[in-house]
Amino acid sequence: MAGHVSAMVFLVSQKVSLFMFKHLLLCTHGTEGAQKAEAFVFKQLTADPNLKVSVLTILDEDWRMMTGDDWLNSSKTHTAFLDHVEAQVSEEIAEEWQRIRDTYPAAAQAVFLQRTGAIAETITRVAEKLHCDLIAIGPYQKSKGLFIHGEKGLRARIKNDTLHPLLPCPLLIAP
Amino acid sequence: MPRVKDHMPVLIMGGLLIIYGLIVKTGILLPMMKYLHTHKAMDLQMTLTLIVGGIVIVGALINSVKEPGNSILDRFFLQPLGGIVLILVMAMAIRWYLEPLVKIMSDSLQPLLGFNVYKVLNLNYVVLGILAGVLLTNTWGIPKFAEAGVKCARFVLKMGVIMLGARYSFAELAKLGVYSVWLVGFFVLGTVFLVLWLGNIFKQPKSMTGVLSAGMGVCGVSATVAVAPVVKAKSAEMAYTIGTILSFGIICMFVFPTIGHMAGMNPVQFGAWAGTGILNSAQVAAAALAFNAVDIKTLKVAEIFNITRVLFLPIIVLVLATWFGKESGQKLSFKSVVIDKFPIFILGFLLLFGMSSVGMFSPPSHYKGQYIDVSYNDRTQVTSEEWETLKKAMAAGEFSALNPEQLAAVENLIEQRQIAGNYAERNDGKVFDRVGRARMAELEGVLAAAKAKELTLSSDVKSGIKHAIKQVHKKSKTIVTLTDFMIWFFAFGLIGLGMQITKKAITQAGGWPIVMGVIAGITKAALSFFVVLWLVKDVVLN
Amino acid sequence: MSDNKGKKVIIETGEAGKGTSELSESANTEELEERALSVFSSERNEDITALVFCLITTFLVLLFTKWMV
Repeated sequence: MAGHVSAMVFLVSQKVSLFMFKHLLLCTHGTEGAQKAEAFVFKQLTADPNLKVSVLTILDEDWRMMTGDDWLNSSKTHTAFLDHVEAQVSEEIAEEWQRIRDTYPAAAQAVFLQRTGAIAETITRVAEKLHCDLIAIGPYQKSKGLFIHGEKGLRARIKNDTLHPLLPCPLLIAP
Repeated sequence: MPRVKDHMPVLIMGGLLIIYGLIVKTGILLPMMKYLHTHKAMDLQMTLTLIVGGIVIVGALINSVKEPGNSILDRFFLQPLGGIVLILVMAMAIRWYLEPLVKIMSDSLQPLLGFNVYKVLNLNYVVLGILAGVLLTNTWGIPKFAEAGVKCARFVLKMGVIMLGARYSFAELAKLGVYSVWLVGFFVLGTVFLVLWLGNIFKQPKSMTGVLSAGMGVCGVSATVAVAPVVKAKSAEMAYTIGTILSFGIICMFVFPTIGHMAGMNPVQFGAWAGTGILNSAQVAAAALAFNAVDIKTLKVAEIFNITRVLFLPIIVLVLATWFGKESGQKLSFKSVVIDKFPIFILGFLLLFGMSSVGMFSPPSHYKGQYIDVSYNDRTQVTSEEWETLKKAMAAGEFSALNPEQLAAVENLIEQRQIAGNYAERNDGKVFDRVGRARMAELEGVLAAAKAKELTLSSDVKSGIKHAIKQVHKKSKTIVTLTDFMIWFFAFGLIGLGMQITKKAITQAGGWPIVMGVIAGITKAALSFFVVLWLVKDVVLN
Repeated sequence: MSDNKGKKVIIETGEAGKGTSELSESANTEELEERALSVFSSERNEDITALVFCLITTFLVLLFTKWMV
């Protein structure tokens, strides 16, 4: 079934990318699901030389809420913490980008972007700003819950009900 | 009025407050208040709602007409107004309606469930307030108009801590300080090393054990936030550590008071245990108020522990920086860690403590706002039912196990119907007072012996004696009012802090931090429980 | 959220990135800018204001419960 769907999407993408789509926004933060989207975009869609790909990685603004109910620290300490988060996450994002470039030769042409904000809002805002005509994301992944080998960064999931009403262009979910 | 729409919710809340105040004024609500046992606060409800409602409406109207600016008035009054009134309304609703309702409901559900929900979960207004805050953030989210005001929570909580300073005496501060420095010192360092050791065993990266050890050892998220940049923690490590600590802390907030009640801890023991075992300092205050929200003994103890932990935090940051230092190369000087980060509000706490110590809030003869008045007074008598009970118990020989001094005190109580000196000596104030106080002390001894099960008294007799003692304890109005303010500050601050706890942050718990965190957290809680029970004796708090 | 600037800067991504990446200048600085937990510009201000408020409260309480009665 999955193969069937993927083949269908492939056909569609082959067809539409030739005639319709010019600029694709690939949203990834290196998780398993997102890596599927990376593979799909860079292996299958970039066959079309006219397709421009922008890779977007979002620094979740909810990091700001991670300080929880801490009230003892000075705002200085808070700023130092958030600065560190920002620097650290940016570094991790840069590593992800490097991994993408190393894995897919086609990624060399892509533009890499990092933004901070709420996930769904940022995706759609960037897509609008860059005049993207297709957004690609990975499939929904079940959270690994309390497993010891946790995921990277925040356990955030893209919520369909927040993302869909905001979409400025079609959304492609890589299988 | 160009922006009246943006400020509609605030205007509505202000209007509702005024309407409520006026309704209270008519007295229609009195029967309901009597049912809820809140009728004593009727005057307060009326004054508070009318004043707050008036200020809110004026502020919201100014906001609707005036361009938003950056003046002091804007930053400190107009912008945070919405959030402040939201929290206040929540606090009022909880204090005056929700808590009494929960109490009544859990009383009536008790035969059905076999236990009292209110008592087991300690659902007093503090806990309910935090829960309401957490619920609001995670369901509707903090409304836009309230965002700026909710940020005031921590400021108001600081005010609460400063005001609390007025409630200590030198002796208490010294005694509690010694306890807290030893306990906190031992357990902070112990947990830090335990986590570092666990990290070594499980072969976890230093950066992760660094943040986790600080978080588990000193003061939860606050310490994690302070230490993360120093040990260069990875994003996943920070996320999992913070999630683990937040979830663990919230569970502690409910479990600790219940265990404390079951183990029969006294306020000092519980305060010491919560102050050592609970990770986040806001949750320490919450647990202390959850254990006992009526009098603030527990809070007083817990807050001293909290302050000690705050003072320990920079030391731990320095230690971890040195431990990690070889790799990070980040230089931290004593000045940048200890002096720059010294919390000034603790000086405020000491200032209020000093003011109270020189007797500003009560005449010198009053001890910490409470004084003992053993003079003859109709109002200090026990009720006639209690009097009868005591007489009957005496006739039935229930007091036969008492020692002669205690027996004499009880006999005199029955004779005079109140605790007082000898009638014959009434003109010699000093002697009269001394005799009266001695009698009171004996009666307190009777109650203590009954509590320790050295002798058995019926509960009616015990409550009669308790009432007699309470009747001669007078409180200074100044201290009572100051304490009321302080409690409201704490309630406000804790509700606001509850709003900062998001589901996302809590469910972030996981990974190795949860394994090591749970081991370390439970070890610390259990060990400190026994150490506290073993070492901490009741300090006489006033 | 000032994405409209759209200015690009090249940042060093350190040893991890092994190179440079294109980033919008306003990418991650402004959004986390609103950081201070409270309405105060500095910690010292917050603590001192808290103390002053407390002293005012204390004064008013003393005035109405002790000095005027």
